[in-house]
Amino acid sequence: MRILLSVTLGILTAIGGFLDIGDLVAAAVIGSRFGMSLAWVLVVGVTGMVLFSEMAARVTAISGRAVFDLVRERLGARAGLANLLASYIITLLTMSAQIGGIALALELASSIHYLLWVPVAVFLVWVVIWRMPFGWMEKTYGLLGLALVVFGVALWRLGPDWGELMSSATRFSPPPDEEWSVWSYYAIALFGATMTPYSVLFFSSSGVEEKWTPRDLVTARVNAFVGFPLGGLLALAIMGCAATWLMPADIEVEDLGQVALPVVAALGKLGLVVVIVGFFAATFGAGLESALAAGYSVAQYFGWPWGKTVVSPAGAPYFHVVILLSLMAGTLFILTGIDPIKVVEYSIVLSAVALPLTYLPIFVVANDRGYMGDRVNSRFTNIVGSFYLVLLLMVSIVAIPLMLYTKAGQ
Amino acid sequence: MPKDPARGSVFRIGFAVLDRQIVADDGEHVGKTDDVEFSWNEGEAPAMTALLTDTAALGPRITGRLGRMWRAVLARLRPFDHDEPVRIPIGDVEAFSPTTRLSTPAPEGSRAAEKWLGDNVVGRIPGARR
Repeated sequence: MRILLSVTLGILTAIGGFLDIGDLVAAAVIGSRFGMSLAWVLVVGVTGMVLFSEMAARVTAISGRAVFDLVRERLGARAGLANLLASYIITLLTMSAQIGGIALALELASSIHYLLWVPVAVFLVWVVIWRMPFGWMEKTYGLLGLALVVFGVALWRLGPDWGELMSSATRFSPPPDEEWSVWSYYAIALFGATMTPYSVLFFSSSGVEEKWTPRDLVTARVNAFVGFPLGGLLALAIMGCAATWLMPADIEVEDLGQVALPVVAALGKLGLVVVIVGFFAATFGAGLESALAAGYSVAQYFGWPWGKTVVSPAGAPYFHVVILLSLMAGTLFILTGIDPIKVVEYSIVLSAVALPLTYLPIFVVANDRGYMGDRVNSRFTNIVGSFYLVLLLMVSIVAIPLMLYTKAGQ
Repeated sequence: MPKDPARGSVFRIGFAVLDRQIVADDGEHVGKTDDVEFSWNEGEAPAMTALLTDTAALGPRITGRLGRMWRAVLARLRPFDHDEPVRIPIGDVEAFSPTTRLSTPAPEGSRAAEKWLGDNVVGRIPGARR
């Protein structure tokens, strides 16, 4: 009974915690512009995320090591450092995007300008990292994030032409008035939003903090195999809402309020309240995860003591200083008044560029008997894993030229 | 070449020693093996005699101008009475992989700057010593 409860709780947390500001914005922007024609990317992205997280969870549970610990060990001092710098900068950018997202959600709730909320949002993130125990933190934002199920309800209430949505989803080509290059650029953005490196960094490090053993692997796997696809369904619902309501109204999504419009149209004020709770939980959770991921990666590379709960902050000073400085840098970046939605869009494309950096070492170690014993990848996992490695490399190479060519999707 | 007694295979220092996490006997993180020290007498083969751990010791391994800068800047963070990288004699090592475990507590002078920061800055924020 207790196991059942903890598994259910884990799944719910995984669903609620799956989405972040990148998913929210990408799904709505794409839905309003391309209908459901990029829904397949969500399927590819979620599958990749399940594969990547399962490998990372297995590596952590068997070897007790987190991602950047292994990056340094496998890639050596120099290549490891280059990897760290690139990953850190992307994580910082993603974290800034989440901070902007928290502030935008608070603006929606209060009508007070988001820039005034930024310091408050960052302070809250920091306090939670500083004080709140791990399990509590994960469960709170995960369960609150379930509020986003309201998008599913809204889609059903909007009563779309399901056949039309379905045929749009299986067309695999852009709508007639859009170009292939722009469509592909947004495909990469959506992929980057779904398969995020910072959440794997966080996932594996939290596994070390919670002292996973091979026995915990079952729970971690169920969370990944069941929770993530269900979380992906929420993104699909957001896209569906945008395709059903925003696209015919010719609304191009430029701020977070527009993402919520279909829900308001279908469910009124109450819907709006629930959506704002969901937005806040999703961005706040991702803000915590990305800030911690920044600290984890640097501390693991240098071999410093790290951890949110296993050591007191005074016992891991460098780790906490890195988090604090990262949060400050993110705050200053957003306070420049740069459009937070633009930050989100660039952060998801660039994280697609950086994906191979963390994927490859995990993939290699997951095949190393020295670390894994007989728990190495199965042949099936390796076939799928190799396919994704090629895909990730291709995406990574194509992303920036495509960004320049399409002027970032304009 | 030293042999790994468990496997009877060649012991590759680049693989099994360098860049691994060093953990003291009480589980405290000491650092990564940033470099190793070799000693030899005339006519004998060189042997690994110590592990060096210190972020500044990474400098020479990064090479080039960046490496030199790295070493110069980070060496400044050492305390005055320990102006060399922290040296861990090879005899103190209990096991090399997967993590390098020591049979002793963390050597004196390791993590000096970090401990200072912990005592004087981070430790002063309310709730730091729960």
